[in-house]
Amino acid sequence: MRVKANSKILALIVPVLLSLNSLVCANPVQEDMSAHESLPAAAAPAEVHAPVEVHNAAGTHVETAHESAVEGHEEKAGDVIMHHVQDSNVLAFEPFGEIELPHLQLGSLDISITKHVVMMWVAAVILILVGAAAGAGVKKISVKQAPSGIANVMEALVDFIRLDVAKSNIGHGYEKHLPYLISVFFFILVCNLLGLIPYGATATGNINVTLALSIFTFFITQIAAFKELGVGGYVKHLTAGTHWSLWIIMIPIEIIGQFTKPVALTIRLFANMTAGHIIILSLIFISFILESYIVAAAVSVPFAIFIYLLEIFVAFLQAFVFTMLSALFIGLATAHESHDSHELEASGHH
Amino acid sequence: MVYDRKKDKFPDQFGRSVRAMSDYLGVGVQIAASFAFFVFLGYWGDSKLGTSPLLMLAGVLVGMVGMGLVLMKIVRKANRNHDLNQQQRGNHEKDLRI
Repeated sequence: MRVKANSKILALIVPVLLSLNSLVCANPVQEDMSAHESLPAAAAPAEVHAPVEVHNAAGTHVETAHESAVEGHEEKAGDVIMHHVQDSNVLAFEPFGEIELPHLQLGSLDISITKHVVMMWVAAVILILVGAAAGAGVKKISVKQAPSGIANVMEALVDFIRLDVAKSNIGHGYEKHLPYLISVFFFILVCNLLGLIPYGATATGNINVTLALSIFTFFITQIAAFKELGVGGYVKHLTAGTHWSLWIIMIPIEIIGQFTKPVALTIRLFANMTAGHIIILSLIFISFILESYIVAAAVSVPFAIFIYLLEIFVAFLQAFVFTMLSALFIGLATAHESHDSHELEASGHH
Repeated sequence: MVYDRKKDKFPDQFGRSVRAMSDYLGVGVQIAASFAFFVFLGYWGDSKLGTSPLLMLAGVLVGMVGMGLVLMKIVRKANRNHDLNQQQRGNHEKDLRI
């Protein structure tokens, strides 16, 4: 019975939606197009849903007009998506206009202030303000009181990084690396979240940013290894305990291995952040490509909302994973062969 | 500060899993890159000395040996970790001071 009722409702709604579709055709791309004097396109969507047999003679004419209009599109869906995820010299505030960002040259280097640079600055400013507020909040209270508000949130996150990430992965002497790990966690987190708000851009969706962060991790790892093991111990680390006749093979492999870890970090963060945005935009553009409200209501909007919520989770998860692996690499580099397993230190005896 | 391990299950387990995987995280890229490195080294040597294709084949062989070494290293380390964990399992329960 219920199925029957549903199908009746659908039978009522679908024609209405289709007729609305051909009447209104709210396609923002076409509003832009009025400037490009390709008005036939405005008529074209109405033809799309009409059966082809109706206009045998005129059909060819309409089709060509539609095609030429599509070719005249300045922005196809793919271009819009790529434009959104890539870096640019413009801060666009869609209905209100846009801000041109300055181009800067340093010799042959292009050090322009781009969208992602601005977003990193915004992230830094947010972190400074939040950190200052949290510090002030902690200063105000006595030892016996629990912090409240922003200080409480920050304390929970910082403590989480301190215990679950740094202490359990690095073990002894983790305090030295704690500032870096906490900074990198919060910076990546804020950058990821800035990409999810309107008019924002994902700085961590830029492979240069993620590579820079990985290079920090790489250098910190190497320096920590040198400090911990000394030069001789470091070289011994590279031979991985093989027989001396195989060193000629093993040492290059181990050196390559040192470089592959940061590269994996780079790609992981960059790909995760970029892919999420592309998926959301693709889902939204499906309704524009198929020019249908049904698809918009049934597919695009719910799925886009679902992926968006997933992205919020991924923003936290990727910041956590990057920090976690940075800590792990530092821990592996500073581990003595005698206690490879950190389980004892991980078991948190205070 | 008292840290309740029962409350925070996910990060703890996740951390342990990542630590367990840590030896294998970079190994695919490492093997691929080192194999390519030796092959291209041989290729470059061939182009310099005109001994094509001997050095490249030698590079392939060396790369294969290197892969075997990497795998052996990982297996040895896994065995050692396993033994250590077995030893610690007895003490491990006592160490959980909550």
